[in-house]
Amino acid sequence: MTWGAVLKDAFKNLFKKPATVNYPVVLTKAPEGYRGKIDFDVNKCLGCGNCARVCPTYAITMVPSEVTKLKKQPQIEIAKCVFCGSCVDICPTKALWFTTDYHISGFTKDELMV
Amino acid sequence: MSYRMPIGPIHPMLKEPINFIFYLDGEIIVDAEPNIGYAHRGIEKLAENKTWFQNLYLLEKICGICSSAHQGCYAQGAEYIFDVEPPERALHIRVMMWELERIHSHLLWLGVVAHLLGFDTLFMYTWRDRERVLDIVEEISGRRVGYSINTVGGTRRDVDDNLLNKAKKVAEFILEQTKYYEKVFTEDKSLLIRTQNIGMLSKTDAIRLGTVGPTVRASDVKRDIRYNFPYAIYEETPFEVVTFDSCDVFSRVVVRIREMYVSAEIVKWIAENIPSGKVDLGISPFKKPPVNEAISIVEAPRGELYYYLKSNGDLKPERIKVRTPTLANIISVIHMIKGHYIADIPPIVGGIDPCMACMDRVLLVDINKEKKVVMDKEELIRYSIKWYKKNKDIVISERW
Amino acid sequence: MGALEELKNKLSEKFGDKIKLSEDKRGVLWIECDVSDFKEILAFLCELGYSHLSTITALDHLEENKFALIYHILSFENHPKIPICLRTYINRDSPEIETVLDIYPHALVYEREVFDLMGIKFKGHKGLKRLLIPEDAPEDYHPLRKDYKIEVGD
Repeated sequence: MTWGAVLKDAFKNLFKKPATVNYPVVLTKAPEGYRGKIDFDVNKCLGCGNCARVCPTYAITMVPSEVTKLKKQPQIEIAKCVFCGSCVDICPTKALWFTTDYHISGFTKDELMV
Repeated sequence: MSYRMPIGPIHPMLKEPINFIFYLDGEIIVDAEPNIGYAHRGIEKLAENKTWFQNLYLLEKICGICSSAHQGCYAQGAEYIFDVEPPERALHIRVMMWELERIHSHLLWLGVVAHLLGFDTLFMYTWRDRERVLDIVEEISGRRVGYSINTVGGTRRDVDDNLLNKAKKVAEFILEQTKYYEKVFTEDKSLLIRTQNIGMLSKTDAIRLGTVGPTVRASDVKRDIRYNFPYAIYEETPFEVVTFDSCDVFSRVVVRIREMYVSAEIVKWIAENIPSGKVDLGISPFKKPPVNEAISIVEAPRGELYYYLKSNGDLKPERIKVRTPTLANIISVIHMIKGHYIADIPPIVGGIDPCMACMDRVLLVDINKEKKVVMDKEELIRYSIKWYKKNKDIVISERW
Repeated sequence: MGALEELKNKLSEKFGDKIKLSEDKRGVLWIECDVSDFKEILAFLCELGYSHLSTITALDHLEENKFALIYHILSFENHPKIPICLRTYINRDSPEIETVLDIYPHALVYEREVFDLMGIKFKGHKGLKRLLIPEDAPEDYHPLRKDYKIEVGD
């Protein structure tokens, strides 16, 4: 039994560089495969509506559209999204995918609509 | 002169915030009463309104630290109801994520206990080492907390050889660091005074009061769901039950440190012996299950997690019942805390690992003088550290 | 399956017609019995080694006008690998049942939870009050019942 069992290591650590990253100045890059903000390509979309049926928080609604085959396209509210990935997995034409963008905040609701 | 002291609920950390009311006689605690319900979100009722596949993402949010244990237990129970067997490779990945989660949960708890006892250096060291585990989990699953790697019928993502090598290196790093933490926690005198012979829970009391998890293994009872009711692939892995027999807070620290060795060995074994094959059976999210009911039991980092599921042939479940391990351990806290000083409340309540949600506000009421003093969590910790510094000699002569 | 057959034989010998036994593919034993016998069966199982009560589940059968209560017990020392679930039925209009606190002292919290969310009273339980819902809620507010509907979605 001793007093101060960490003193030796604490002294050595005074001369090493810190273990934290100075965040707003130095940005860490998220790894590939990170589930960040969702992105959408309307040219690949069929308008089938499967993504809206599968979403657990009802964040996807189908709105009318001119471009797709079935005349509907999804509108995603990022504020309600939990980034689970069910919509990405079920889309038959891979029109939805995850980006590595984790800076998701905004001042108005329109900034958070995809 | 007797006091009645409520210790208030709010702490935004993980499971349930708990409110205790302590009945005091001078500085010694005579009785305690728990009041819970501050984070009740009605999840069991909400789960009856979502489909079997949408519930995977609802139930993992019950707890932030044991999220994979909740989701894996639900997926296992839903596989019993749908009557399917997931592929072998999926079970290996599922167990690897469960054990990585146990390592980072125990490291978090070690840091929090060190912080409660006034040892902030160890708090910083354990949380620095925890970052290596969170980095490998983020590369495998996509997020640091709330991994969503399980689905009904297997796992959603596969791992390649590169990631398995990285996981093996992280497991070897954890084995190294755990040796260092075991040396510090069992030799440093300032930690030993505050944790030995406090919060005694004898073997018969632990069985009588229904305790689960590392708290009961610290009272020399060999109970572990991975050993008594094996599930997934635990029978093939190099798993051993860890027990220790001094029945106090020190014993709980030693049990959790030694469990980290076992978990790191299991991760290494899986990285070397994982079979090849598919990882998902590909069940459609719009499929209806047969009429059935099932139970699913899993060893979460805090103890035994019990799920009961019932289906009546519909797309949505009829009933889901969840019993989390902290609820089973509250009764033993009331039994353990009688006869101790106020300054012993942080290590005893923190020793059952309740996601540290129990103590944020302390209200001391002096009934005779009608005077109230309010302290928040940081002040209670500072008060208990100062009290111990002043009364160190009395305590040492009383207990040793 | 030797241990399971032995357990079923012991139970049938002692209780005969009063219980119905069934097992599922994972080795879990389901027992169904009447509300007047369930405490005797629980006491017998506690002697055999089933000393751990995991939880108590309450189910609401609205069309048949009854509640079902399931007691989930586990044994860690004897009869390994056989969890048992014991089911009884009570009337929905005046739901009352005896407490099991004398057999399992840790049923304190589980009975309070069932009373709070489903409204089933336990006779002989000292200090039966709400556990999760705030204490100033109305008396007949038991949200987990099937006739209490919630609105989900947009």
